[in-house]
Amino acid sequence: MRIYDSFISALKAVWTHRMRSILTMLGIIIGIFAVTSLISVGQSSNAAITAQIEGLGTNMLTVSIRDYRAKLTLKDVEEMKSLDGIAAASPAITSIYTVKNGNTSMDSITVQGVSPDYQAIRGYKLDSGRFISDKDNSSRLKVAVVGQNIAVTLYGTLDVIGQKIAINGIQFQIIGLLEQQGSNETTNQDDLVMIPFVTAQRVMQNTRISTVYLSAVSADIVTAAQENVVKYMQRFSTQDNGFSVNTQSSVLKSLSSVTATQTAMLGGIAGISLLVGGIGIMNIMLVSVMERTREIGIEKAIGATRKDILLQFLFEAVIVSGIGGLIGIFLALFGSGFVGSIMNTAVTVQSGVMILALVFSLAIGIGFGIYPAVKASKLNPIEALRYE
Amino acid sequence: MALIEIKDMYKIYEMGSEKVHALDGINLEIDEREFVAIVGPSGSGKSTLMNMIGCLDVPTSGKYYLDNEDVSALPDRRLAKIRNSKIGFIFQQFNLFQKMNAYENIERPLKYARVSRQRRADMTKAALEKVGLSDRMYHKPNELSGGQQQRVAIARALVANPPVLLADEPTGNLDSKSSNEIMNLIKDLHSAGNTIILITHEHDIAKEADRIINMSDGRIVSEIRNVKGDIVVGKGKKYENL
Repeated sequence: MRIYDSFISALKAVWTHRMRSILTMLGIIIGIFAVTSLISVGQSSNAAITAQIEGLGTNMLTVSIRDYRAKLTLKDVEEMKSLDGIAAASPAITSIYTVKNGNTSMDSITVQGVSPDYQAIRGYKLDSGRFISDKDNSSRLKVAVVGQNIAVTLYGTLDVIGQKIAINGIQFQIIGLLEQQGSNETTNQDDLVMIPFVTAQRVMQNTRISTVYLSAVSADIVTAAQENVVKYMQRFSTQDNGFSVNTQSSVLKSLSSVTATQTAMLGGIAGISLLVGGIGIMNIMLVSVMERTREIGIEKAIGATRKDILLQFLFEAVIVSGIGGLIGIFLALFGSGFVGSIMNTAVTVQSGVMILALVFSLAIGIGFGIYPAVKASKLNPIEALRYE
Repeated sequence: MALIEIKDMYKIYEMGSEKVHALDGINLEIDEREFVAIVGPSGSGKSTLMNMIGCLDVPTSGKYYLDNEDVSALPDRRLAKIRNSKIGFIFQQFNLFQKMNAYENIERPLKYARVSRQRRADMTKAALEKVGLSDRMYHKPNELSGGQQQRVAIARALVANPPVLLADEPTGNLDSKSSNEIMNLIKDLHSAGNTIILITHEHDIAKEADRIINMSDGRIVSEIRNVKGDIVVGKGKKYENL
């Protein structure tokens, strides 16, 4: 039979058993819908995170020192500024504390000790007041720059310059308020408190410098700057993994590998439902072959070859899975918008994912339809004709 | 050469340790335009012989020439093609496709023969005309009487103009009035030049044929030439005595 006639014949068979076809399709619809929308949600959140990190400035470098024998001083950090390609450097020390205004308090607040360069490196903008100065550092002043959330929660107002804030029970004076920034990958900057680095060393009782933030002169020379920093750092530690110098792009890379894994996991879990849908197709096709045994016998008697019978049944499976796939993709297009509105991110279904989903659903039709189809094609015509 | 030529055909089934000879050395020739009836009790091997003639089965040994082609050892693909172009099957159970109307049923073999759509329509309509069912084209089998269903089946059998029409108890499921109609139709087809092989256990039906082949235990035990359906001659026996 011609391929076209086989296809039409299969289409008619699917239509004849439409209730059964729709129920079988449902498995594929749900599977494809789940896979497509979950992968799209994963991809879209990945894209959102990437955009946010890139928005932080791509010329930032981070030095993390793990070697305890590496004694880096503030003078060394100053010296790093004169390295080729480096524009600014700031040490950082971080701890989690409870902060208080009178009886109002906030737990688990990230308090960072930094130097004046930190503002430029991270690109922080101030809503009011000023950032930490060299003088604050050298005089170990108890001053703080706070995020908007801190101000609103502790004081109920954004007018907080000059107010007192207790960090771990020590009184600080607020000198600056950050602009509202939203959240990024590491900290919520609206919940951040920054104090002079030298003051922080006291408060946190830690004189070791284990983290240094730097910024390259421009984004193009980040890699060259990174090499210079590595070279400079080697005088403090020769140990393997004694320190690491990361750029935003390396952070981005490791982060996107994490989200890619997450996406793959989500897709994999949803893939199980697709597998179940495929088994449903196989099940129904086997029943169908059984029911139509006599019909197959007649077809063979009037001239159908094995290939004709095989194609007929394979087409039926592929039509069911293909239409199911299309409906699933269609639902995912609407559904992911809905999921996106719940998750507060824009979720878009990429055309690549749609094509992949369609190819996958057709492959499932072939994969799970082939066994019943082969079984049908191999029926002995005499026995099939005798089948009641 | 005869249209059908069977030489020393055996079909042996192994049932456990026992060997069953369904066909036990059949020699048979059927010429073009003959009307042959194969009779015999159940288990005589007439159905097996019919399956062989219809290329639905292959013999254990022996030769079968159909239309000058050795078809005794062909692969499935070739056999399907021969069934499609050389044989028209007429079954006791009609064996129509229940989901298709009369027209689609008759058209089906032509699709396997890859006939173009326009030619299919012409040939299908001609076949419907021959069996007198042009006005029932769009009826499904369950909307037709038994006799009408068998007519559709006959139209399907002859639509591709095969050299052989193979009828297996064509009237077995019909009342006597419809039986007569169908037998008249088969006789008409014979007069129009078709070769007909009829398998039956009813002597009244067999009597309509030119030649009656009697089978028993996988062998042809007697063969009778039937002259004008009246006087029966062959191997010295009268037909009534069979």
